[in-house]
Amino acid sequence: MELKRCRKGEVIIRQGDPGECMYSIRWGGAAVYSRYGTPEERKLAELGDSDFFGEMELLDHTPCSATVVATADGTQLEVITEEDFREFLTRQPAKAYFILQRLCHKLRKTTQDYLNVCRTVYEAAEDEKNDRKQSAELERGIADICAAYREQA
Amino acid sequence: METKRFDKNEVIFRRADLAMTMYEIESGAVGIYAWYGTETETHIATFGPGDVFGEVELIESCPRAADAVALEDGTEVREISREEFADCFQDQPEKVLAIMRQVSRRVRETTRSYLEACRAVCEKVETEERGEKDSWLSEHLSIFYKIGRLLKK
Repeated sequence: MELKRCRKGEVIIRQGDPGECMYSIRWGGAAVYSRYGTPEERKLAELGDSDFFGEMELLDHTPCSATVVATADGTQLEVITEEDFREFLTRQPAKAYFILQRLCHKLRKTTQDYLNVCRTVYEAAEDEKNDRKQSAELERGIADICAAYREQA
Repeated sequence: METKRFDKNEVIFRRADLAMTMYEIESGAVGIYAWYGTETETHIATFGPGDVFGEVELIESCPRAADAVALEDGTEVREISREEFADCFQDQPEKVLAIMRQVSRRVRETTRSYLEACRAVCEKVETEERGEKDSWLSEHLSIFYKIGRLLKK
């Protein structure tokens, strides 16, 4: 497993690039951005020691979904390629289990978010069908969905 | 690791059951449904020999989200407990890797559905803001309306 050292501000993975490796932060820090370097740049998360990223891209061979930038000089990363990944599972099972747990949690959360949007559509349609005014709560829910879409898409 | 045998249409687990194991299919087929056996029964997925199911709720220690039903007579599934699964990381990393890929793929697909739903809502709102008429019951929202309606029952 390769170790990589980064300067502050160095781009580790870039949104849209092919996803080939998973990274684990041995020391230092990194920030996750959407649309890095553009006026729509948005910081999604801050990562520190023993955090990891890039796992979904490695598993699915999909392009990087975000840009990750080192936030400290000398940030040290463990670079785990697909070839390394099997060894990683046997050598660091607790960490690998944690990654899997996080994926499962993401799946449950995303499923719930999706079903909530469907409920909102149904409620709005029922109000429209019955010529009812939308509740403030429903209006807020619709506004939240629009805001979420504009941020993520 | 116990192997269990099921006849066609026999229920393996139901939504809200406690998740104590995951399953690997040795022979036959298993269908995942929402509201199995009711008038709003909805098919979600089908699994065959070699497939694993029930892993998400086991890993997350949460109740089953759907119903699992044997689709063929003589369907055989191997039960894998949490402890046995933990051993898989060292003994059968390939199996763990396959499960991680599967969960990752499902996260990606569910995220896509979620964003499509958000976009449809956003377009509806923007259409109205432009002064044009659009209904919550229109075609581009219908799939989400149907799911929302099922959830309300």
